[in-house]
Amino acid sequence: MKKPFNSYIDDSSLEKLNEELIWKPTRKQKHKQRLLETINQLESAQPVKYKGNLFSIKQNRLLRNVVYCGIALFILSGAFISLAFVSPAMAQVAAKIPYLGQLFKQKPVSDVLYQELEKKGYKTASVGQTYYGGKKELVVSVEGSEKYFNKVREDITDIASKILSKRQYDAYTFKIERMEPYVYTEPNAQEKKIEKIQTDISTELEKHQYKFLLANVSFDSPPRVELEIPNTEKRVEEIKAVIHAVLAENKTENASIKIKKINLKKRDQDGRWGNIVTDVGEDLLGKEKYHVKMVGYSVHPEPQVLIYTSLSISEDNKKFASELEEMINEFLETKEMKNKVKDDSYQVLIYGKGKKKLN
Amino acid sequence: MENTKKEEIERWYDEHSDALLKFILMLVKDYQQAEDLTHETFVKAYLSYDLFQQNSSEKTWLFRIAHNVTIDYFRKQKPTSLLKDFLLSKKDQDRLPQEMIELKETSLELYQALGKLKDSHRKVILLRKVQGFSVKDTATILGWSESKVKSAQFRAIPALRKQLVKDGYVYEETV
Repeated sequence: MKKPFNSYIDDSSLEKLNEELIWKPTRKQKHKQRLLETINQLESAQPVKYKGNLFSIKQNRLLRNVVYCGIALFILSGAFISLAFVSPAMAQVAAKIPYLGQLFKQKPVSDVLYQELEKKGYKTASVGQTYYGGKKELVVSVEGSEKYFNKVREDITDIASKILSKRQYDAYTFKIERMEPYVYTEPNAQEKKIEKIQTDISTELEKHQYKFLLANVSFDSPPRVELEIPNTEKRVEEIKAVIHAVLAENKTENASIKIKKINLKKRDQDGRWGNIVTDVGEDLLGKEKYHVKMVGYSVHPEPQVLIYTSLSISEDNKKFASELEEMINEFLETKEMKNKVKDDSYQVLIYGKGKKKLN
Repeated sequence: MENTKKEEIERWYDEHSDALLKFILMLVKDYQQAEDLTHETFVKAYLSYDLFQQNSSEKTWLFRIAHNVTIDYFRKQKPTSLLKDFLLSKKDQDRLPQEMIELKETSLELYQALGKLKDSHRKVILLRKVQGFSVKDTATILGWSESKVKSAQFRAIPALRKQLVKDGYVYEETV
């Protein structure tokens, strides 16, 4: 039997469908939180960017790989600690809590796998460790044809499994995927224009010896120029005048100019603590037994190392957290880590389920 | 800069996540998967933020990412797609879980009929009629030519009507 449909199928009934389908605000909020946590993780894994590598129109290979994998990459992150040696203080730490000792001697597992695959001649585009949505994965992207991918898939999986197993990293699952080889595409007219304006701005600012870190031009409506300068550079109005002149020459005088002052000391601190947290998290995240879901950091107002665990709040777990905090403190006070920590005062915060503090 | 990027993604999330979730949900027909893929869309937007060339609006760009994310998802599901399609189409008959998604009775028939359309018809209706994108933006999101969007749209609305008739929901004019 046919049921009556309420109205004629037209644009308004389809728009009504859009209005009447509601994603519950509580769910939306929960997923927003999840997104922000993921971004925090990714931010803590990314190297700090300085002048010279950030003209946004240029696609860089590393970023492309990150985009493709949707993961945080640790390849050649500058956080290598393999050449360091174990000091007497560290040896004491290692005796108490083996994983810190181990990690001190080890490179990130993705570096090890990347180098191993490179040595054996595989066309590996990237290797990354991901903690995406609470799931820990070691991900390899292989560049090349479908045929090549099928040929090497099993061997690479085997090599990765052996490395994970040797380290007793049981928290990771392994994933391998094929990546289309990168094809360079010529920039279009607008991209070329943006690039020219960016180059002109850099050239002019450098000519007048103004200090700046980043110049970014976008043609979104309204078009704008964003400039990052060190907070020690006081000649803001003069810099704006130079940019105005460049924009006028390029017939884009309607673009707005936004200048952001950067505290370089804080930025350097941010970079150092990003690396520190990578070192601290390597083993903690790799092994199920530590129940660590995520590590993070903040340098505002002062450095904090954040350890998120899946532990419930109990006296035993609080004791575990306080031991862990003590060990991390000892680890950060070793001579080798001192170079990264410098004279910063910091806090180690360990959280259990529901973001309740354990220490 | 990092904070600005994060704040910008947060703003995009507040403004566009609803629309993206609905779009993805009606493509994958699995509410939990839709939430995960919406999350993935924003993570990818964050990661490729510096590549956003601003030739299009942020909403169009986000929808393009969401579309690619769902294509990737289906590609990965391929080996079991027949079984999955069957299971999902069964699931689609059920009501949506009230704690996650709510859909008023008056639009339920349309939601279900849209879910049964072929992929290209469903996408073009969702973008052009439900989300209100222009032909040009729809073409950008789907990676189609504008003429393909127009011709798909031309066929999609009659196909939807036909589906509603088939399901027995259509209004029958009395003489």
